[in-house]
Amino acid sequence: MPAVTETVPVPRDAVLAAVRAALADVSDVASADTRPPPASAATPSDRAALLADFAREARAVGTVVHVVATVADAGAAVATIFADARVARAVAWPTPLARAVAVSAADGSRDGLDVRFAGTDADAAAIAHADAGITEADALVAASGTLLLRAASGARTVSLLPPLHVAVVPAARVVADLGAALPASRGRDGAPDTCVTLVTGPSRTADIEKKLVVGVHGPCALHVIVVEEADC
Amino acid sequence: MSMPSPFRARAAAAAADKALHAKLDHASLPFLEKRAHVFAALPDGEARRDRARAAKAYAVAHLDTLLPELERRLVEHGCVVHWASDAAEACRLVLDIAARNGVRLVVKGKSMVSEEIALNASLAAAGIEAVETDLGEYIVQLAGVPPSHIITPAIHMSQDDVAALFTSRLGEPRHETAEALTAVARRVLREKFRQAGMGVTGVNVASAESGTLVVVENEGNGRMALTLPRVHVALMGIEKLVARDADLAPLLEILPRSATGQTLTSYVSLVSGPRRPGETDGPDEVHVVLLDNGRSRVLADPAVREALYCLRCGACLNACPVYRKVGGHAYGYPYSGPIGAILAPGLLGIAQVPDLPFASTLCGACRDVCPVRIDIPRLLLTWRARATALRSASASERLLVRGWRRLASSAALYRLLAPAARAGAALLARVPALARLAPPLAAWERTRRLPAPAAASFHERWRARRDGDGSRAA
Repeated sequence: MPAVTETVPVPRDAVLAAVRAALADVSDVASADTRPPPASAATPSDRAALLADFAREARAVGTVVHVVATVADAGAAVATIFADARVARAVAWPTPLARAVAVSAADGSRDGLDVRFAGTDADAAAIAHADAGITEADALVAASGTLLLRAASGARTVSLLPPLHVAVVPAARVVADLGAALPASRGRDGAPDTCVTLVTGPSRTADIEKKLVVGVHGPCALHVIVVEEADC
Repeated sequence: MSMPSPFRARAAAAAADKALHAKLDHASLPFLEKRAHVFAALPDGEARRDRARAAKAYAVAHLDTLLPELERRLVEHGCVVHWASDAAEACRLVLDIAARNGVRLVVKGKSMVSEEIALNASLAAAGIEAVETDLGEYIVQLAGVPPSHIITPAIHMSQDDVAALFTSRLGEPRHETAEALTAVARRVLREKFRQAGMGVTGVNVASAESGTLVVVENEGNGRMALTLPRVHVALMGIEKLVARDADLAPLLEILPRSATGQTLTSYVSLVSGPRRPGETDGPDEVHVVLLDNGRSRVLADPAVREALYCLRCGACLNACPVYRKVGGHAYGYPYSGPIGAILAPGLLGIAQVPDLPFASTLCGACRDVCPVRIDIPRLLLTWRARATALRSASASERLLVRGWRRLASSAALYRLLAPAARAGAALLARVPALARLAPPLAAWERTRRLPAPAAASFHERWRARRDGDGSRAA
């Protein structure tokens, strides 16, 4: 039997060989200059101005922004939001701030609120059937009214499956723009997170005749509670 | 991918469809307006476009080193990286992953690459149900037609069309609002997300430096597809990367602004790998398919290489007067509009789609709105020249072009004959029946009137202006 001499190239080698051959004429391209533009005079540098920018941009896309002084105030705000939305079952991230706010909201609830924590007593079914999810943002982006959520901080589905999403965040976590926010998605070991989610307003579509509809697959409503006196 | 029928026949039918034009204008013009508005409000907006172009240019010129770097990082994070030379290989890879995991149902985030490789047909042939979950993609899948716009797949359908479709295909009562129709999709698809064994998404951009895949969307269906099923498969063209993490923000700042006029989309997911110990959700397996399918051929062609910078924002479709008259289906290819007219010849070969580069008035509106400033009109001309070189011109066409070359390169001859040509054109404009006698003019006269030439030629007016008022002309 004749030996098989013809070798079929592995797709990886075939693709890379084609790419290398294609670039044979390219000597060098100056390294891409993608540094952020120099800060203009109008760029706010202090926290109050950044928070004002964040609130304006977030509200423009339908996010409800609350700025409160203390964790107890945040709990009271969440209790009110939940009462208005008739939330009976909530799931929360087990981070210290989210836990404290969730517990405080349950204590302040008149009609009784069932709060469970993802990773401890809330399983996938509890998250899927909850009326609301409470998370803690790892950064706020002033330029676009965006929240940054790290998968390492809590279950990704808490901000996705329930129809109402409430994110709490210490005021000190506001940054100017995406370029400043994305490094915040690094863990202590420098490895990137499994998943970082940038959230800018509730789930939306305009696929039917350009008509804006809020609440397609993700949450129909998004509240951000900025806590001024929370530890960062 | 085979072309169902020649572009001209499809375009002619669409060009006569006034209802289609109204739907296209209704969706695309507000996108353009919002795009202009948000770019005006963005500090250094034009400089950001330059930086985004530089980031893509650098990445495309260094794909030979960046692709292995991306692969290494992704593997470090626990991803499985696959390579595919063409559509068939890519589909086979996805089918193998599905088979190994016993997958019967696949939920899909919006992915133009999956349209390019016709993945749904491959999955269906293997008995695997694939459900599109972006609302627009879900609508066109139910309707059994391909998407007709990169960003707004069901742009060619009215709300009434969608309501009738949901009634006939889903047995829904007649819904009268976009909210009610969207709620139907939410309810039906939530169940699909729960049951699916695999989620397939595209990739808008990837960073080689950290091995991060970025998925941009508004509805949350992308997050569902890359979070809930046990297996996530990300499909990406080999050109969809940047060198550094620092390049991601500049791209994310201009992509949604160009696509929908949003500052940022509702959701951007930055994925680096499967669920880690201690995490309570996310997929157990993340597979990344790196697809060539003609891209290395475009890369090897310096005259058209910059087509690979495209971010798939769809702005050039919205801006194109031809797209707004013929719609996406006329192009017969998943990438339509001006970018489709330069990508299809590159990825498929110009012989497959010789008509597409001519589907343009060369007005330049596409270049003006392109976030990475691809010189689309120049690339269209390049492809036109190549398409023309493929066919043999008729004797009369050769004679006409030779005559024009002679005329236009001799000032004396031009001046001599111009008055006669103007008189002839004036006569044709006055008596359209005459114009209909000559074949090329007859084609023009079918849909519009030949304009009468101005009373005085440019040369005459220039002379009059110079002689009459030297100070103003100077």
